Amino acid sequence: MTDRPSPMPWTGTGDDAVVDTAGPDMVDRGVVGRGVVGRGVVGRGVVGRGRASGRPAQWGFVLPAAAYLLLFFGYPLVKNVVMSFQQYTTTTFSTGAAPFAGLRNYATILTPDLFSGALVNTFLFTTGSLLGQFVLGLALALFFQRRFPLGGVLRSLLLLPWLLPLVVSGTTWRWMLDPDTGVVNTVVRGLHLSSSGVPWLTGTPQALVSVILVNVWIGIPFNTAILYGGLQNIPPHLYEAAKLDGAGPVNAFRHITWPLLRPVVNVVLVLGVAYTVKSLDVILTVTGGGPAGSTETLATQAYKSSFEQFEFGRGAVLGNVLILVSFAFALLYLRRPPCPDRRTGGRVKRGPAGGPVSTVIGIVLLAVMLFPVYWMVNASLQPVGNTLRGDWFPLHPDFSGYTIALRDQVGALVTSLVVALGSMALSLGLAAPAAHALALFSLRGTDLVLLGVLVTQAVPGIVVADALYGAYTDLGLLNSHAGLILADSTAGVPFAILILHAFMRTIPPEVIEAARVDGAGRLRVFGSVVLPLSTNALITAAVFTFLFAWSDLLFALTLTTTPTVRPVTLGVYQYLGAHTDHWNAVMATTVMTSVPAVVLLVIAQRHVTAGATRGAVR
Amino acid sequence: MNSPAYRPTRRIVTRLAGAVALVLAAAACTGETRDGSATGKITSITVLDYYVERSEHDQWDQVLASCGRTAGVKVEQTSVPPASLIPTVLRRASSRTLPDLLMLDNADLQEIARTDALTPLDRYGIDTGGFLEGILSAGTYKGEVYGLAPYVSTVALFYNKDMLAEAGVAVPGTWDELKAAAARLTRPGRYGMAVDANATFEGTWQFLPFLWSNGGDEKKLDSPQAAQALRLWVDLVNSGSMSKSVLNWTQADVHDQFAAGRTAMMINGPWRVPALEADKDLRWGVAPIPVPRAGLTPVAPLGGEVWTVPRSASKARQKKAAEVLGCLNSASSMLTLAGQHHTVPSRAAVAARHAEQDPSMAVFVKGAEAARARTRELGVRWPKAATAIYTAVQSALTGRQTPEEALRQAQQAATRD
Repeated sequence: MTDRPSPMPWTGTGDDAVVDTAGPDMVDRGVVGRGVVGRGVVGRGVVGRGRASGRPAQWGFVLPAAAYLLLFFGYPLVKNVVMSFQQYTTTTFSTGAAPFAGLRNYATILTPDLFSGALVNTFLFTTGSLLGQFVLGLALALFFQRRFPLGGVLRSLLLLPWLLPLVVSGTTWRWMLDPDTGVVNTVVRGLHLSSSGVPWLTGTPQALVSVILVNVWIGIPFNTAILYGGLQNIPPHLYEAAKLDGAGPVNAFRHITWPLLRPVVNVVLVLGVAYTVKSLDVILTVTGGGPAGSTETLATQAYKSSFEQFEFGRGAVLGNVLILVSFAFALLYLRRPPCPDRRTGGRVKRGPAGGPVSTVIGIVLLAVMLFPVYWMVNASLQPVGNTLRGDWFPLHPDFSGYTIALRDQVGALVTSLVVALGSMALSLGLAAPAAHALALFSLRGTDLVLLGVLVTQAVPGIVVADALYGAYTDLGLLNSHAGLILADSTAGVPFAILILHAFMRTIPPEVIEAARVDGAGRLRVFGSVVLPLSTNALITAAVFTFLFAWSDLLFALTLTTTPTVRPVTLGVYQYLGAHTDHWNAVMATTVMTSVPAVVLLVIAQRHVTAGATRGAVR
Repeated sequence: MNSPAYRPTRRIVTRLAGAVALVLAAAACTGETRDGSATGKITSITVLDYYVERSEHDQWDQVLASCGRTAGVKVEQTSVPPASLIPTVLRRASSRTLPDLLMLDNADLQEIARTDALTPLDRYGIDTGGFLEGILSAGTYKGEVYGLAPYVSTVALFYNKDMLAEAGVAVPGTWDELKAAAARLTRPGRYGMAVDANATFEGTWQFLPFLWSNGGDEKKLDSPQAAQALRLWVDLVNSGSMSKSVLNWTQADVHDQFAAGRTAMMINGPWRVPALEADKDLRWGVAPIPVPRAGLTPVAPLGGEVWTVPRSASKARQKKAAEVLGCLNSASSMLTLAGQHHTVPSRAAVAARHAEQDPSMAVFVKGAEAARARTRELGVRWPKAATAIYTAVQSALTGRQTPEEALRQAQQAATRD
């Protein structure tokens, strides 16, 4: 489980402004909306229709994935409620004694001073993050709607902040925001905005602003991508008509863009809330909840109660509150009015034209957005000791940071690779058959399963970790690759099901009928017809499930206790707590940890775009 | 309808199968037990401590390896940052993955012993005679000794001689002198003073000498004496003599600031001395921590890490770990370690020998012998008070609460169940 939204890939390869987004289409087509529940899923089931005898076999496709989701989401939800009424101590897990505590945990947590701080911070963090991400994301989406040289490339590169593991972004920002030596305050002082600099990480309102800023930076690409897709769906003739009527750009935005974008806006915001409320990695790495607890949220408090103070009962109470908040928004989302079907006469191929000036503006915008990435690389190339200040350019690149990082982290990199590949394989292995059955058989209960998959998106990772810790202790899965693979797939499995289901629904029923007529069995149809047809969607799902597991920090942090199995994200995180005079080594590790994201971006240019658009275009 | 391209499945299936195979292979590797089962010969033991800094880590590595050779085992040392040691220990205790030999800050021993994770040392026949009273009592829980420390230490005031000379400032001995000196030593890009005020036990540890020297007490945090001590830190930050970043600095960060010339004075421990000595350009001195008024005696907290033998399924491994523990606390190891870390051997007789050898460490020898154990009054309740103290320090330094308000809340938190 990551704290970030599931990706709706968007990237343009060329300058011809290909409409290449899956976002709003998936929304319309019910991948992420109530459409799944309410719309014509039934009736598409061609293969299984009327074959009552085939039902058990058909459910066989769904069963493994359903069992996984029940074990890794259903069980934690129940377990968390039970734990909140128990008293946990350090001996609980070895003796099994967790006496019934009644409402004591609730009484301890639900006090004004302990609780309202975290609740208010969670509220401020969530609204602040969403506001910033949305407004800036929309502005960028409107800008990139223009067609101009290099527009597609710039749009693709913009995704980078969002693809980086959160612990990498957090570490980089933490260093940039250092009040005494960080580059942000160097700029602030240089511009004479403040002689002493801003106490980004040491002031009480400022630290919260800092984590919000970092989270906004991380979230902008996601918002831009989805909103950009929504904008592409607005028929240009509406603007032309408005122009004829004498409407200016402001009126055009108010009366055309905004109303037609509303459904997409709803999706972005509601998903954003669900993901931001449970966000943990960013705050843990940037401020650790401090100073004076001023950036402590429900999620960080739940984590600290359970895994630092070993008060699992109290952690569970906080987890339950978190679940309530998340589900309240999820409900809001499922209850919202259905999206109007706006697919009016094919896809829009052209945006308004912009010239080279737009390219220049685009490059400047991108430079600002990618500056932290540059700074990370720059820092990794500074010589030892110099980095606390850091020069603007690595004029004399020093690779000693990489030497140290490789020596310390090579095992962690291998572990991460094994876990990420394993999680990718497990996610696809569970999701592909399930998506196949859900998309192509008319099974009763399909809607329920898909609803369940959607609901998992609102389950906080810390709640899953709380429950898994106890279970893993008993099963001997702590400190094992298998344990991490299973836990990390909580992000990959639901995502892969949604992506593959959306795609497989577009497979023409005739193709499958023909195969059945030719005597192909159900497995054969799946293996020889459906999977080959879904190659692009499979690759999309594969790269993202890989990245989810690669980026995981929470499960690495909670489900390992010894250094035997230590993913590289945890290696980066532990550098933060450990004092180090090798800042270049820390940054070199973050650079190496970012490599898969960059590789993914390159792949995204080719496969993900294709998979997403083919999946989206009917 | 836009049909997707037909692609051979086989390639994907092969790739997936390859990935699965790789994973299974890797998972299988971890299934192996590392060494000696309960019956076999013990060839290595695992050690957990918080000596993450490279030089310190390496020094300990050598001593542990040499004691391991005496006991006939290889020692695998793992170090985690100080602030995450206790969470790590609690988690490893609950999942029964504790190391064979465990280091703890002496103030945390009783809390951990209470969870039943440790074994009493008398069962291994380890000699506990002759230890300084403070450190022995810190290592004792319910009348049994669970942990022994080869050396003790405490904190003191380090100052940059050149900076003091240049500013014409004498080494401060009282709080007023400290404030005045810190203000005069502050320049653009440099602070006069630095402490560790972060939200961990380390922050509490550095605040204690100020609290105690002023007559404050961990049992009564809402006293005027405690508020005055906290007010001193708040004044240093508010006057700009101390960076607000002290809220996030560890003791190691404080050291870095000092070594880099970004602070003229700091509170730190003698274990920093080797790193400071390595810097030839840095001329520095050590003095007792300033006291509220002239004539008072500073009261500093007793530092020093105790070594323990956690409960485990293998008696043979415990025995080996105990042998290494005994070796670490032998007179010769004590002298070696105390020499390396500029600390004080924890047996009175050995300490006397050490003081003769290294008279320059007089400040620390006197300080450590007079130091007060953090668990002396509260025992297993100390961690709760320690948490309350650093919370109050953070709250006051950020300006969220006045020192009085912050400490009133701390007192409530420390006495709450």
